[in-house]
Amino acid sequence: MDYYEYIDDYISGKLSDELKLDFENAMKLDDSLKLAVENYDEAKSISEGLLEIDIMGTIDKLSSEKNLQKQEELPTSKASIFTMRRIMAAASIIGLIAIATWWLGNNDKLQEELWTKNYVQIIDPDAVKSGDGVEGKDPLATVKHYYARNYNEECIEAVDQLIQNTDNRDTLSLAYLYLGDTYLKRSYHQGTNQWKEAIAAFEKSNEKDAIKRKQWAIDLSSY
Amino acid sequence: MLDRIRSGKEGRDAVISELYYDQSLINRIHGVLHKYGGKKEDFQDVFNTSLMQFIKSTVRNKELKFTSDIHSYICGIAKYVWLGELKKRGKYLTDNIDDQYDLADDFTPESLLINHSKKEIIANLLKRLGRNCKEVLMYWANGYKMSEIAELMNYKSEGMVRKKKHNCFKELLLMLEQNPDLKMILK
Repeated sequence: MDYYEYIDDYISGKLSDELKLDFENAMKLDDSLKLAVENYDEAKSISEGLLEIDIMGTIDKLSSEKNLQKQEELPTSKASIFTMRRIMAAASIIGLIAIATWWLGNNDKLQEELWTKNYVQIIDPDAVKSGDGVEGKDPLATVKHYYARNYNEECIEAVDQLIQNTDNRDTLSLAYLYLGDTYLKRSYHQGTNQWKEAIAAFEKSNEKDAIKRKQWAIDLSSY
Repeated sequence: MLDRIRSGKEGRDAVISELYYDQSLINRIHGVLHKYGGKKEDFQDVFNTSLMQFIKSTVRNKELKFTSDIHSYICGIAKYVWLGELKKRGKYLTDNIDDQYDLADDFTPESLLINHSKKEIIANLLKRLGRNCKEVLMYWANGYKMSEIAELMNYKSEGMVRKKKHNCFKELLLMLEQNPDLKMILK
């Protein structure tokens, strides 16, 4: 009798009393069977995980293909531009393009590196917790609300309105900090190139954080 | 689409491929990340994990249907995955983030069984098991009935699947006996 066939039922307690007794006696004589019962949960867990392994395998394969495509696309499109007669001229142009591309690419990379290393969103727990709308919120809370959700245009508009309607220095200082940072986010994520606006806003803020963020804006704008 | 995901490896892989290159989905997940403070370099991990969770849930839960469109559903998963990652990194200051962010309430991702870094090791160790063996064990362990596996994998009868599963599981148990490392990796 192959008792392995009954492991599932033994584990789930579905064996008849008689068969259960036989099974347990068999375990006493067969160390492998005993170990199989001990390892049952791990084996089932591995079997269950095979689905994840299979799906991730497919996704990883697609990722590799995508990366390969990216690498192949650039030289192919460049080569098709030039005819054989112009190879010499083309070579020099390609050289220039390569340098420019490297320079721009490198700049992008450096900018991304700088951003990734340094940038931290201003986190205000109350703004994060607040509900979806801005109804009933005071102007500064409205600014923070939009800022926390990356509604950049709405945030800038809310700061503009706040500036026009308050002369409280503390409120203005915070508002300019949020304004500067919103310009910073827009410039980096949306490519709006509003580094100068960001710097100007940070300069109007008295918050400690503004000095650091102004420096980021200066550094990021140089790429 | 759900039927294709549940139709076996071929259909499942085809859907994964379609979704992987779906620019509209890619843009929406970028949007989710951007909204919750994610960076460009976080995208690929979140996207891959979300896609994996979506496919896995669909395969495992045969009754699963969607009240919203599939993109919205995957975005809900992405949001969940990303906020989970943020929590891991200790970026949020509040403990009640789930409620505040109105997470997709019809989805609670199961924790991953196989850590991504261990995946390669386990996959290599299991190379000895044939493809059909792995497929049968995978469906069985994920709650498919023998009759369903027979239909999915074109076996003539339930009995044949039962026998196949029995042989494959025995082989896997013996592998565990011979490779105690495998057991350690899972811990």
